[in-house]
This record gives sequence, C-alpha cells and structure tokens, in this order.
Amino acid sequence: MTDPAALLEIDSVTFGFPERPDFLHPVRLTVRTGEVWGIIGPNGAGKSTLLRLMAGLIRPKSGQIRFRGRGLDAIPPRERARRIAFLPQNPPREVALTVRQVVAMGRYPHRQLGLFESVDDLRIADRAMEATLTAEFADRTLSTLSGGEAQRVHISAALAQEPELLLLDEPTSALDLYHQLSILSKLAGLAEAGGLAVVVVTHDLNLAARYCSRLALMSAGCTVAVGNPADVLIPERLEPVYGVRMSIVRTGEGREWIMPLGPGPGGGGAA
Amino acid sequence: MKQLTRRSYVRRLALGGLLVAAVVAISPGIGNQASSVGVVEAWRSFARRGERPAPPIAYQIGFRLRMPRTLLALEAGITLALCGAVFQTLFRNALATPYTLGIASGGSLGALLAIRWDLAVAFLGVSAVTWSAFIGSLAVIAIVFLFTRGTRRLTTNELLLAGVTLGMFCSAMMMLVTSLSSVRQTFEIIRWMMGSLDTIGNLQWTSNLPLLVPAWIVLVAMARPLNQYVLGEDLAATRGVNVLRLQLICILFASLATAAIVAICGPIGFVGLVVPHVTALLFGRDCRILLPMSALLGGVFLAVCDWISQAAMSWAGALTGQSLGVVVLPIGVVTAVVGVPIFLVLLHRRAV
Repeated sequence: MTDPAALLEIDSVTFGFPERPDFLHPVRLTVRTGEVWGIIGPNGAGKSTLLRLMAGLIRPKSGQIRFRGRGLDAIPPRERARRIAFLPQNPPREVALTVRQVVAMGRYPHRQLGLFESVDDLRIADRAMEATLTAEFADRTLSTLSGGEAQRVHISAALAQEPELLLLDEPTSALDLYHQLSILSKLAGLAEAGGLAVVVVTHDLNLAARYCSRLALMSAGCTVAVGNPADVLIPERLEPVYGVRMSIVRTGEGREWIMPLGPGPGGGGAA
Repeated sequence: MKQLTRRSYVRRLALGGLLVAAVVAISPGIGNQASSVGVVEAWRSFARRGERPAPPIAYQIGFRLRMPRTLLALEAGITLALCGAVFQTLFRNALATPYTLGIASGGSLGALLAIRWDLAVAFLGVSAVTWSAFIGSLAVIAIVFLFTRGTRRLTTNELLLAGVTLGMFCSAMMMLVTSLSSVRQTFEIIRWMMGSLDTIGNLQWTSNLPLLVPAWIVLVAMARPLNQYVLGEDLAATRGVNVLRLQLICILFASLATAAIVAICGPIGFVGLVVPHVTALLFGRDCRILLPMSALLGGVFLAVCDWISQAAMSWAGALTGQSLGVVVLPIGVVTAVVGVPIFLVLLHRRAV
C-alpha cells in the first residue's frame, strides 16, 4: 500500500551478508517529510545497515524500499543523489581540499556539466557552512581541522546537497556539547520548516529524546520498537536491549531524560 | 589553497601552456651538442625550408631531429605524469605510479623477448620490439581486467597487490630471458630498460597520438568524479558517481596510454611519481587543477631532462677540460638524478 504522505517507505526489507545471510529481519517503517527519525540500539544491531539500505548503497535481500512511491532501484543515481544525501560514519579527514571546496562538492549531483561551481552553488555552500558554524574556517584545509570540525564540514556538504531526505550516521559522535545541540536543533528546524526529512543513527539517547520526532529501536537485526519517543524510551524496552539498568525521568518540557544506572545482569546487547 | 575559480583555473593552465609552448619554441635550438645550431639560427632557417635541392642543414637539425624528439618527450611526460596523478588518486597511495599495475614490466618483458629472438620485422613502420612491448603491456592490462571481472566493488588494495605481483612475475621472467641472451642482446636489453627518447626507425611522435589524445581527454574529464572519490566510495556513490565505472575507465585509459609510451620509450622512471607530487604542492590536490597541471608540468620536466641528458657530457667536458665525446645520457638517469632529490625533499617536508 502506498502512503501518499510518505517520503521513504521500507516495506518488509531484509538483508544479509555472505557470512550472516539473515542479518536484518523484516523492517517496516515509513519516513514522512518533516520528521526527524532516530535509529537507536547497541553496537551491531543493524542501524548502519538500515541507513545504507535507505541510501541505496546496498540492496535489500527481499522486500521493497520506495521513495515517493518509486522503487529506490528505479531512480537513476544522479536523480537519487539530488533527493537523498548520506553521510557515512567516518568520512575521511585526510583530504587536502579546502572546507569551502568540500562543502561545494555537495552540489555535484545538481551540476551535470561545467568544471566550476556556479554563483548559486557557492551561495548555497556558504549558507550550509553558516548553518554548521564552519564558515569561519572556510579557507582552511580539511586535514588541518579537528575531528569535530571536520564532522561539521561533512554535515555542511550534505546540507549543500539540498536533499529531501538526509541520512546521517552518528553525525554528532565527535561534536562538543554546544555543537551537538546547535546542529541537531538546526536539522530539526529545517525538517519542521518542511521540505526535508532527517534520519539519524545515534548512540546518544538523550539527544534522540530531545530532537527526534520518531524513533526506531534496533537489536540484533530486528526493529524492536518503532514510534514516538515517549513510547520507545521506556525502561521495559531499553533495558533488555542495551543490557543496562536505566532510570527515565520526565523533564518539565515533557521530554524524557535517560539516566543509565549500571550494567544489567544480562550483559551488553543481549536481546 | 583558495577556492578554484574559473579565473584562477584559466590563469594556471595558461601558465602551464606557456611553459609547454616555450619548450617547443626553443627546442630547435637545443639538443645534440655535435652541432652548434642555435635557436635563432634554427628559426631563421625555418623560412628557407622550401629550398631546393635540400633544406638548409640548420632546418634539418632543428626541425627534423630536435623538435620531434622534444615533442616525443612532451607527449611521454604528459602521459606519465597524468597517469601517475590518476593512479595516486585512484589507489589513494602516494607511491603509485603509471607502472604500479605492472604495465611497464609487461612491456619490458615483451621488448626483451623480441630482442632475445632478434625479431627484426617491422609492421606498419613500427619495429617488432615496439610491437612486442605494446603487446606485453596489453597482456598485463588484460590480466588485471580479468582479475576485476565480476566484482561489483573494486578493492583497490587487492588490485594494487595483484598488479605489483604481476610486475614481479614479469621481472623474474625478464631475468630468465636475459640469462638466456648473448652478450650483444644483453647490452641491447640493458639499454632498452634505461628508457630512451631516440625515435626508433621512422616512428614519429605523431604515431600514437590517436591513442594518447583521447586518453588524455577522458582522464582529465574524470576530475570532478575523482574529487568525489577522494571523499570515499560511499559518499561518491550517494552523490551519483558510478564508482566502479569510474575506476575501470581510469584504469583502462591510463593503462593504455602508459603502454603506448612504454612501447616507444621504454620504462622512463620518476616522471609519473614525482611530477604529480610537485604539482600538488604548488597547485593543490583539487583534481580539476592537479590532473591538467601534472600533465603540462610532466611534459616540460621530461623535455628539460632530455636536453640535460644530451648536454650533460659536454658540460662535464667543459668543466674538466677534457673532451668526453658526444654521449647522450640515458633519460632514466637524468629523471632520477633530478627527480629523486625533489621527491626526498618533499617527503622530508611532509614528515616534519
């Protein structure tokens, strides 16, 4: 069934590696424009695999992924690149290109011919750098930046791609507290303003609680829980998945605050 | 490095183009020291090239011997430096050269076989040694492509290992062929292995342009996708680059162009390793500028090295007050003597 409001539909998708043929059990979820999705779960749960499936980097073993009702496979790579941007977990840092160059390269799918970025491209790149507070070192070489600074540059490049769907694999892992909050609130703001949906893989449950409108909790290749943060972030769901005893507090703004208390009896990742 | 704009791009390329043009312009006046024809005299004779029964000697020396040799040096330098820059980018390896996939070793083995069995037949005006070298290189390229067949993802490290191993195998076979050769053949083999810009027979620098020019154009046109590739294969793929196709196109065209040069000039070293590094230091690693500038500077570098190879012995003679005769140093010696110090200084600067 095609949902008319849906941007990306994951319909009973499975995936396997040669050495683990039944890695991902049927996943079903629908990403709509304006939503910020958080994919959470312990190491090796299949979060990145799910994100790579959404990006079209790998193909489902069975099931279907549809983007605006069209099969993801049927969209030509260039067109797909104009609609879906992806940021891998560890994008390279040892790149001898300037920050502005790296961000402007996000415009690649929009410019078929011609060697140079247009004035428009550079304006969009500048705006993307301002959004991630990287404009101040626009002329520095990427390889001279710190890990967190480089991560923000790569996020800028993904923004400069002006996608309808933005897929980010642990985009805040190297960021300090200030930039974690400023980047995620920026992304959430862009999504809320319309025209964009964001999917973030993250280990930070509190950031997920604060900024995601929908969550998918994964464990051992299964989506154990899908829904609103209030429904997913409850001890009965999180504790067995993470193997950690937790206390969850509701803050004054109606957000969940997750406090890990210590390792549970089951050990990490037991589900 | 500043953002690459149309203006800075055109200015840099114009600089490289001017250097190449300058090399071509003075080439009739520089070269074989046995004759003292200078630049001015050579160009003056150019106006009298239609004289009967024969054009002036200065014209013949300047425009039939020296300039074609320099043009061959230019085309070889352009090809080797461009392919070196492409391979260094593609394999993410600073030590990659046009010969990394074993193309030069395959070509050399082919040439050695032709020398060992005294193949003297020329085909289409091209000597058997050249043909055999070209076929040897093509065989290596074919094996490399067989190796990549059926993969959806090309692991560049495995490809590098396969290429290096192939090269080692060819080197071992070269030892075998050399050990089975006569003294005269061994001498010829060693000379061939040094690389040379002496045009063999009536083979002209224009003969492999139909292969080289399309290869140059295709490789330089890969600059933008190659820039994306530098950011990682996943990122490039999600930006619409067909990564496998990019890799195969680069390997195919760079290999064919290298094979076409090795067949004529032998394995001239260091151009393909050093020039891309020097270019990156001067103009940055943006492939849009790195690839064409490496090509232009590579051409100029090899042409100048060739002049040095022809003049070095008479300079040495002038210094020592003895006549050392007219000896042309092997081009591979000069590129190494000039190139190795530059490379070591660069490596040192990077390490500091």
